[in-house]
Amino acid sequence: MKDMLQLALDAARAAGADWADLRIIHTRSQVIQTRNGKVSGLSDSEDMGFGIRVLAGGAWGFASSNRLEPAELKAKAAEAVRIARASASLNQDAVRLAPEPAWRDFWQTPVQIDPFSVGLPEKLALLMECDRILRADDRVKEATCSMSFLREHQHYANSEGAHIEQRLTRSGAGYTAMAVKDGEVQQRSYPMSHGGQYMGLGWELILALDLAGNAERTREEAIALLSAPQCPSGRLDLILKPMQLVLQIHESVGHASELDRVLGFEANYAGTSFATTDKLGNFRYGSPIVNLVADGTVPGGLATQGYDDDGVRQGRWHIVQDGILKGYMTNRELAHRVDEERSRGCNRAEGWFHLPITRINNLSLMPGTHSWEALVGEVEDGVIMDANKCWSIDQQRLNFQFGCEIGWRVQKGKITGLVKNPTYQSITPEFWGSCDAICGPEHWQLVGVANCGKGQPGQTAEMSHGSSPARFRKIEVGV
Amino acid sequence: MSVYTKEAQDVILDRTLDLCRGVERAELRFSASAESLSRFANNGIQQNLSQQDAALHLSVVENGREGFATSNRLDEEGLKALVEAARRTASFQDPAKDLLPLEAACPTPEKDCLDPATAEWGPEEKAALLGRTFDLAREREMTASGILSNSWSQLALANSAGLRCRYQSSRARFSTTFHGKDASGWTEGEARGFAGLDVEALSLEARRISLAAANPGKGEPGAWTVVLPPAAVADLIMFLNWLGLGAQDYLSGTSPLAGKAGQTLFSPHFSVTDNAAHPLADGMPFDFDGVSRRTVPLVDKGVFLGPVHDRITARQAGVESTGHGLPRPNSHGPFPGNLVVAPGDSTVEELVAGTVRGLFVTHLHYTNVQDPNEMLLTGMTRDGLFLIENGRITRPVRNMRFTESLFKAFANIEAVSRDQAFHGGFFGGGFVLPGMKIRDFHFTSESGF
Repeated sequence: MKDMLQLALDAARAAGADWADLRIIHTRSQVIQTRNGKVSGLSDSEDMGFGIRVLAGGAWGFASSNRLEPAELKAKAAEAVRIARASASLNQDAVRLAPEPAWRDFWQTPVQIDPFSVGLPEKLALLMECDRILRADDRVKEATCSMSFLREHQHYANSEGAHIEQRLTRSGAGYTAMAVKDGEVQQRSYPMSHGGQYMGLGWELILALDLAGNAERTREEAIALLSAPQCPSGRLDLILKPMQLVLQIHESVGHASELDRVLGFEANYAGTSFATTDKLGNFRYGSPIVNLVADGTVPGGLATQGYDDDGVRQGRWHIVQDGILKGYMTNRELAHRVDEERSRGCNRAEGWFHLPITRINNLSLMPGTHSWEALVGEVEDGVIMDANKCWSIDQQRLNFQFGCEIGWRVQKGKITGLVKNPTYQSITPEFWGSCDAICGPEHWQLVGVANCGKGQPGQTAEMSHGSSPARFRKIEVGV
Repeated sequence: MSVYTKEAQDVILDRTLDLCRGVERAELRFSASAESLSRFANNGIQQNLSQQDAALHLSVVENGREGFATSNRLDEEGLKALVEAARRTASFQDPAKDLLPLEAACPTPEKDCLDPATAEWGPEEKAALLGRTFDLAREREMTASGILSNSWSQLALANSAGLRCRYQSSRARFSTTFHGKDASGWTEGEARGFAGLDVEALSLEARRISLAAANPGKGEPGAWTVVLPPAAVADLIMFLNWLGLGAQDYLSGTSPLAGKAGQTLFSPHFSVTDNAAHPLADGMPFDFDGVSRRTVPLVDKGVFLGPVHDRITARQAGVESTGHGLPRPNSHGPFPGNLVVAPGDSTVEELVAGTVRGLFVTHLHYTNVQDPNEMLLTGMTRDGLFLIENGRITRPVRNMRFTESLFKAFANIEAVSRDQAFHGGFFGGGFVLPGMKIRDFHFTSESGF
């Protein structure tokens, strides 16, 4: 492998590159899906290729291919330089990379049980057991269950002498029950919507989720929602649980703090950010109890790895501290734009095929001190919501509107019953500014986002967001 | 960015079928694609790339059990490993009880929508075009962002019953946003070849919109008559497609359109067909089972006619497949791939001229489903929202969030434009669409910009 890496870097140099890096990635993935008692998806995929990135004339060029052969490596190195020169013909400012040691290291996801060592019959049997429980009541018309495992073996090298090998493992599973009555459909998912819970762990995650043990409750909640009253409308207190807070953090803080968005690189597609660099260090993003920390080292995080795709070692830092905007998701190219000497290590690509771009790292709301009982008990009139169903946010990450699978009405400090179709709408700094209580660390939960789309061409990335249940005062609900 | 010749595809397909000798049946799907894309922002190229991949998807049936595997290693060693992986997954399965017979032949076995010159379009040519876009932005102290890309894709299906069919296409795409101090304007264009893409004209249009959108006034949430050009219609159609036009959810009762075939649900101005043969769509002539795609009327003058089928749902419903199967296995069931909304009689300008008071929406952003039962969507306006007064666009207003049911929106269509264009939604897809005028379209909050 070292020979291949060196060959490509030498070829890039020979073609005129001032700087180059190369990623060779071999991925194995397994996806198992069931729908209504049948296997609706079962695939074992293998994927291999390389992506070479160069700087020539101060501008970027990138080329990738699935043909991992010496001649193709040389050809793509030359093509990347040609592309970079085309970029340079129009660009006025040369790319400036933040310094980073030339790491030579091996890192792998700590895994207790290799998910690929567990037999397919055991995996199928577990999903079928969940399916059976979910459909034990004929009001559930559709049950979908899935498991997914991925191993990515990466080799990274750059022309500064870095050589990093990483073996990343991700596992995930979940299910959804859809109950139908008189043309109305209600759904409940476990452990969360959007395909389930995904983490940087092995088969031990699947065991810990107790999928079969939660299926009956999930089924009964889906059925109960059919006869539940509609979520009330008005400005009420809102309590969000971690399976909804994950999307709230992701959309209103995670994407808003990606420095490439802030600087306009995503302006034509995903949009920009209201959290502009003039606000760094002085903008009140939330109430003083709001602390949001990015952490590429948190155990089990989907973005947890030794190094990003710039070869930058992972770390931990505040995005929002005591309610004030304190940092961004950065890469080697953009760190200097906020006067930082080193990148925060947020440059990642989907596989070898795609160009690394700025990505949300693991980003979590730090726990507070409230008990769950106090969080609910201090609400005169409000709604608890959990499990994201709908998400939409504007192109500056200000106006958002979310919908959840399930809600509970709270009156005079007591949970009084289920409500269906719960929704809420707010403006990002007003919303986080209204946060007046967060539960303690005993309630804190890390939840994975396994399919964050960004960029053109579109690519997906994975990251996790941790939180404890949190309370927000006087939010517009039932929109 | 070299495409695979038919001969090169056949070498891979034939060798894999050869390796599958001894199994009861084998189905192969070869796919290859490449894209060269220049992404720009702040009047400079920020990302510039060329990427390509090819993969083979295999399904085998052995001892009555079906297994699947995918690989992009297409050499002898890779193909052998692929066959072994598919056989291994089959061995863990229960015997398949309801396998359908393989399609032995496709009446529409080939379609070539690939423009070779576009497939080979180089970074220098794209840079030259973008230089003009940046100049147009600088002339008015603006910045331009967006993409200019050329891509191709190939698909070949084969199976042990003798099926062999192929499709290939190319696309040239340009999308740009021109940013002023407090406003932006956006356009996009897409065609089979770059000859059909006028980058300068699209750039000028984005600049015109951005200039017109400067200094926006306050937006007033409430019920509005809206004029939506084709790009703004795209998000609405994408979600109609996703929520209601496939037979699997229709038959299970989880589709919002379940049981409503034959009912008048929408305005008489609204007719929708799935038509892979439409010249703007460049669609595949067969589905992933190798069944010819039929042109399927889905909504006729407001009457919902029913969903599209694949072989599995067709058997369930006792009808014939319409040729809308997705790659197997999948949890989604059949899906229309080439929706065409029928044109009307007016131009988009005439839709504006016929509006006493309303809003003109350049396009929509981050639309999503809030309540699938009602097909209730929420999303934002973007890059130019304008007040219409007495038949004229009079002034820009700040962006607003809409929350509206597709049942209501498509029932409230008052007129449709005669010009159609190909557009994708924010989350993907591609549709041939006219503009629309819709009354009582609900905006529920504002953005402040």
